[in-house]
Amino acid sequence: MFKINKVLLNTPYSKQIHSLISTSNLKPSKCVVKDISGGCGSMFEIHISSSMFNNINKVKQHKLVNDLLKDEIPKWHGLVLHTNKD
Amino acid sequence: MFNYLIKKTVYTPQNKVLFQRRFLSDVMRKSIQGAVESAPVVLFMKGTPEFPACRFSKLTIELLSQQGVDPAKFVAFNVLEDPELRNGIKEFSEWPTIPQLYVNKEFVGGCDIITEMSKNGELADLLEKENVLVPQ
Repeated sequence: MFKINKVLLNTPYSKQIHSLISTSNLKPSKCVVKDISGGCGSMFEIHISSSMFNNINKVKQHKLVNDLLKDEIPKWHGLVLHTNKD
Repeated sequence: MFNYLIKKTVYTPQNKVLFQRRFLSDVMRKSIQGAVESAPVVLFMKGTPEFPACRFSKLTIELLSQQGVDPAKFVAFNVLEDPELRNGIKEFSEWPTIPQLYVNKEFVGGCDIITEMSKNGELADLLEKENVLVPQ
């Protein structure tokens, strides 16, 4: 759809976000944090699967994640978020 | 109601600041509500539909035009023109990112949700149901 030049996995900051999500009460069965900024380190693609998402719609699923990351997201340039039921 | 509040507020330096911030946000809330109600389909985006200034806004515009949204029922607001709107809309929708789509005053979602809805057909169903497509 659009071209992503460079995907960085496991930068120190993306590890920090990963641990923030995986230790949260979402208890995700799957959590992937990719740095897709191409260098500046402030654009992320996040995939989360959690049983917490099972009975709620997409907007509410995203809001749970947005709330969890509310101190981090305002610092970023962009976020691609994919949430899935477990 | 509002005058009553002003009279009753005891001004100390701290709560004066709080009060002003609250007041600003109330005015903003009202004008954003007005923006949301200004058309059946409202998109808050970076740039304009002709020249989107961010790839997520661009993708959203492309998806909406693929679905055949009636241009007469569509309005886009460029948040880059107005820093207050840019921050205000995030608070208003309780959503941290832009673009944001409203259909008939209901918040639908951001770029990721719209992309997914267009893939699984929910977007077409929603737009059809809300009667915002170009008449056949």
